[in-house]
Amino acid sequence: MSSIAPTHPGSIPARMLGAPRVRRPSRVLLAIVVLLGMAPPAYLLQTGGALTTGYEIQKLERERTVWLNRNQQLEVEIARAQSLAWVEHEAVHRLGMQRANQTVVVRVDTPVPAPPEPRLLRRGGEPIPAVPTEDGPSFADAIDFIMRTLGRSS
Amino acid sequence: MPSGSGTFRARIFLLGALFLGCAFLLVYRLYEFQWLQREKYREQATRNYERTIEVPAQRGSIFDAQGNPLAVTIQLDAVSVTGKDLKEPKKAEQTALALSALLGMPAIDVFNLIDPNRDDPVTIKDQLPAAVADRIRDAIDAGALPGVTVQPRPVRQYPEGPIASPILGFLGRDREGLAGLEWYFESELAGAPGLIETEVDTTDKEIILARRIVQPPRDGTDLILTLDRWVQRMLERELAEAVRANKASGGLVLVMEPSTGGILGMTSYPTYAVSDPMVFRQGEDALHKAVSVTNQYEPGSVMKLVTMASALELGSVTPNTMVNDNGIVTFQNGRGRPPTTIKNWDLRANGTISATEVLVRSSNVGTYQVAQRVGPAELYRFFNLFGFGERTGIQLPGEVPGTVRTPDDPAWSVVDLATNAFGQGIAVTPLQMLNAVAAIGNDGVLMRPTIVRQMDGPDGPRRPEPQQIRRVISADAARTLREMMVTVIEQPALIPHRIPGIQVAGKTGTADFPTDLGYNTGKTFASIVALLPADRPKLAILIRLDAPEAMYGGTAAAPVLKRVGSELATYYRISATTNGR
Repeated sequence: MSSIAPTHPGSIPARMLGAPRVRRPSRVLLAIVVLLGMAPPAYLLQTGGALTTGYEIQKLERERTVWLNRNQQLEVEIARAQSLAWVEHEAVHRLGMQRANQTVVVRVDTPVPAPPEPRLLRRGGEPIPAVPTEDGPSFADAIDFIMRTLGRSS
Repeated sequence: MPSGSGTFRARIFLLGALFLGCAFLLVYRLYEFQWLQREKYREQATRNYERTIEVPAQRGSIFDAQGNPLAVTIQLDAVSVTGKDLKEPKKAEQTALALSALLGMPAIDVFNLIDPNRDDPVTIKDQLPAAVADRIRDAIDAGALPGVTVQPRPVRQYPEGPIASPILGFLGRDREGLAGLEWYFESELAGAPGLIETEVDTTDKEIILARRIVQPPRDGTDLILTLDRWVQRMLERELAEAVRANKASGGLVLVMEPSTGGILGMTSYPTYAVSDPMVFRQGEDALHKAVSVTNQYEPGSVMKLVTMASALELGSVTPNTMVNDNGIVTFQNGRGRPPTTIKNWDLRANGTISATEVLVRSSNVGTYQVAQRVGPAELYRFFNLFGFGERTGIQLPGEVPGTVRTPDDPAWSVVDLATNAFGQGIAVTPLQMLNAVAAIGNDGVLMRPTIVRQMDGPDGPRRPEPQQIRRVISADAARTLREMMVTVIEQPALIPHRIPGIQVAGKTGTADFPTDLGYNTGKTFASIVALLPADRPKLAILIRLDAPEAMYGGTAAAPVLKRVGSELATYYRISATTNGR
């Protein structure tokens, strides 16, 4: 609706006659007022939401750190369980084994066993070459040979 | 009323001037605060709400040659109590009771640690088991433990137990390396902490949205050593047993790969346990040194190998060159001073013997004659070439260069030539000695000893190539000397100490303890060096026992070589050689 009073054909517009003007708030102005009114709560709502999310992220990060730490602790536990000290302790105290007094060396003509596979490192993944080896049978081969020989003779 | 009007005007003027002055003062103060001191006040204001948090870097780990962790840092929880939050005694009592039940500690101990006047948290217990830490966290979340916090703290762990302690070294309370590799590689292992800037509200609580990472943490570099955990553990076990069996005061064993200079095992006794919570005790600082590089000793007859190597290289002798060993050499020391006599270790004369026999019988007199053929200038040049008198450059702290007196020294005399030739009056580190022997095993090429095979950092792995220092003798001379060394090990006296199936090149050594009172203390360094297998050496070994009851290298150290060598031959799958018996 126009803010100017209706005119009749041929008549002088009311505004020219000095009649009081009737103003009505425009839709745009109303929208602006509403928007301006909504801005603070919307901002608060958004900030609050972001803060909640932030704290949630922080909490999750803390939990993640706890689990990462726990993972590290378990890795060390695994390493400890694989350590020579632990293996020896278990072998002696749980399995009742004891160290051999003498190492028997037997020369045998068997094919050269393949060297052990190189192990991968934690970071980088570059393989470490196997320990230096020389052509020849392993101790296990020698034991195997003895067992086979004993088996044949009996 | 001109005068009254004038007074009024003057008053008005004065008042105006006063106001103006005040206004000017205010403006000036404003200018001072807002402009001249703006940085200071900005900083103060910023300090009120800005906080900088340091993010610690993860310390690098140390692995053995096979990738087994020897020293790693993990985060273990510690529980603390802030006293100011527990000002009411009843509250403090309740917290102490609750904590004691969770920690398995007497409640009175916990209670005594709660100081209501302290603002900072006091640690009640650290290195908590994960399950206990979880239970405490749950209790905190439920509001049952006011003033209690659980925080992770970095702790160095040694999964393999206390092996290679003087090599690895240890950390101080501030988590900085204080000894061994931990000290030597402190900057690489420690990494660099990161920085986070954030803001806090009026209650000093962090505004999480304000967080920004200024600098991310840079984790420390991992070290992959040349040491092998199995070799190291075996050496430590065998050395401790040998020291006990020989009633020695100590000893050391070193194993090196001659082709690379890589140290496969390095141990000394007595030592300390790096995993011990009380890792450092006053008066025990000598235990924390890697004595193989920090302490020098007179090597004794093992040094005859270097004298013989120089003679072979120069062509002064061959294995069959005959020398006359009449059992004694006398040096006149000038008027008024008694002459110096040099005798063989067994006080016997060996007669006319070959250069090989000089080594087999470990003849001091024969070695002096070989040294005479080489000449002092050449002999000391070869000592220098073999690395005596200079640091090897291994990555361990406190290495000493040894002490070699040369003819340039005013105090040097021809007696020094004689005694130095068979390893007395000269001081070397065990590592220098082993490295020189390893050069003989490496066809005459001296390698730089190393204990770090690879450094694995945030920028990727760095793997330095084995470093050749120089060729000291020809491959032919080295091979010839090894054959002579095989004869030494295969002499009848050492038959019981042979390594079954493996031909070994070696030399025993016995050196008197030098003291302020001279050499006649009845105590010796009994040592043996060995290359195995002799034809293509894979391993160089040095064993030394300090003040053993059996005194001599051939009787005290040789049996240890048999045990250690047998174990190493099995582990490294060194097969029986044609001549090995």
